Amino acid sequence: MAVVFPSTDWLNELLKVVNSDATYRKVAANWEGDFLCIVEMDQEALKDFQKPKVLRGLLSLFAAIPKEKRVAFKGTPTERFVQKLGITLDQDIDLLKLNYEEMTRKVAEIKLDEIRGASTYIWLDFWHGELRNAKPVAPGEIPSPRFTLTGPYAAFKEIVTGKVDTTTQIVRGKLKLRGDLGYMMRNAAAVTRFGQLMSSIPIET
Amino acid sequence: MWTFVSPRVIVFGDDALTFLEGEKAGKALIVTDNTIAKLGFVDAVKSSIKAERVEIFSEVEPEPSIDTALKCAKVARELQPDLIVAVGGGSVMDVAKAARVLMEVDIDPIAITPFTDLSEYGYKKKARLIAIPTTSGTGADATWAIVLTDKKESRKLTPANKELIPDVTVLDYRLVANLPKKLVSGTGFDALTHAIEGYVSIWRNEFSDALCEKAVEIILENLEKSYNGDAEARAKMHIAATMAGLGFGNSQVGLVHSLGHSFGGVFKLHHGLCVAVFLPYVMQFYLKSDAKMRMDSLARKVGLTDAEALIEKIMALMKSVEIPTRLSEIITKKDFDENVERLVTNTMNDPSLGMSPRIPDVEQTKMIYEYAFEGKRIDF
Repeated sequence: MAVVFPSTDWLNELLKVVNSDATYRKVAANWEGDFLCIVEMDQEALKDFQKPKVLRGLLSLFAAIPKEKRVAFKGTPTERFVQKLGITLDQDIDLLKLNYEEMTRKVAEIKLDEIRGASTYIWLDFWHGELRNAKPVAPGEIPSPRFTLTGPYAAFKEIVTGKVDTTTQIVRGKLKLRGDLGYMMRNAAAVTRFGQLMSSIPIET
Repeated sequence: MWTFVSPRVIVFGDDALTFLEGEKAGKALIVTDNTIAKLGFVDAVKSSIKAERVEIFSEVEPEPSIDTALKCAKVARELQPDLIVAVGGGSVMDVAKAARVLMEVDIDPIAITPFTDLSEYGYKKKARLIAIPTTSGTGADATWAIVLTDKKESRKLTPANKELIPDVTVLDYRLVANLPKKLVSGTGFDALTHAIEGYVSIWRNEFSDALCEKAVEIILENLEKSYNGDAEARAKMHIAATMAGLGFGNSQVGLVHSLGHSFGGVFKLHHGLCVAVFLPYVMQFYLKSDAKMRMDSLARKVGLTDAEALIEKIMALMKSVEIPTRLSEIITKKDFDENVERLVTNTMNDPSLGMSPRIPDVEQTKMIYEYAFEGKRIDF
């Protein structure tokens, strides 16, 4: 099923493809380590979020973070971004009731400099051949992930659509990886297979 | 953004060692192995360098371990050289490349990755590194990767970082004039594998293409002649090995090296032999991928019709320089059966695999091993 990136649908699909893959289970049998992906807003994002279904996907992630945890966005560019759409950190978000047409018009008026640094935080928790959890989180909610992958939306989009693999994006300087790099190099098979599975999910654009 | 990384200077010729006469240093560390030390090359290097103090570390073993790199780094840390000179084959150069970093920063060698910012660890590149290869194959004098063996896991690991590349490489043909035939063929095939893998890698680029193409051309023309003692061909092979290093160093190797690292790690065999034996099988595996067009194009550049003809030529060359063409010529069936699962696991975990134009799954990897053992053409 084609899904929008980023969205809770995409995360659910990711859980499904990874946890049903026998090869991943085998090659990642000893893997222990979580990833925090920090997807930064860029010009490409502002363009894509002018499409109602893509914006809805983004907001589905925001809505999935409990209100009390969303406070961590206070004063950040992410708060500025959602405020410009007419959303406050502490409101209940009913995805079915939002006026996406109106909000996409607001996105079109946003200049990148006004919200530079706005980010979506996605936590992927891998453990012994399983993706135990894949969910949006608030800043600081995962204080010490084993790996942190940071970069602009466009760079992540190229990965999930299968145009480029993660390693190449890092070597090209598009993404920044921090963490236990030695561990990752020793367990390249798990990383490679996860990348193949992630890019196998059809993305609706 | 992409980058092309190379040594600052490449000196070549039958008198290239004279370059060292202009090298001044406070303290210098020469890294070598016992065999090279006995051949007199190290003395020549030592007497050429103008340094107040010169120490020699000659404990590098073939297919060196992480422990050896750490041992060399300890010597370097105590000496604090401002010049390190590696005189030897790939093993020596890899240890010297690792020691230059490890003498300054306390880091697990395997954590030296392409993504590691060594400056964050305090690395200031206090010592220059001159590489003087004494074999013609590894290309280690021109690359930013190193290969170390984890003895506990019988596994080869490949730390890599652009800061690892030597500053100067010195290609003096005299150092390879008396190379044993077995090393001529093994290291020569290592260079050929670098050039072909670098040419089909998913990270290939125009710079790496140019160098890999030319290296393949020179190697196919000269390896057999060099093997048979032709001095001019031997010199050309010395240049081609570094050229291939510059090429693949900027586009990376792939499946052949993943198989070769795994095989060599388990059975403790010469790296050149380990990659050579898999080269034609992997090329056959690539025939069912986009890489076929690349191999067709490469074949035409060396005067052949297509990828199939190139594979045949390589098989013929293997036989003429006495490289085994199947694993069963190297190991027994019992050894194979007892270790094949581990070979597959280690192959799948080799970071080079990710740059292959066609990545096999676990089952296909096992089949490649089985076909290569029996000498059977890859048909999947």
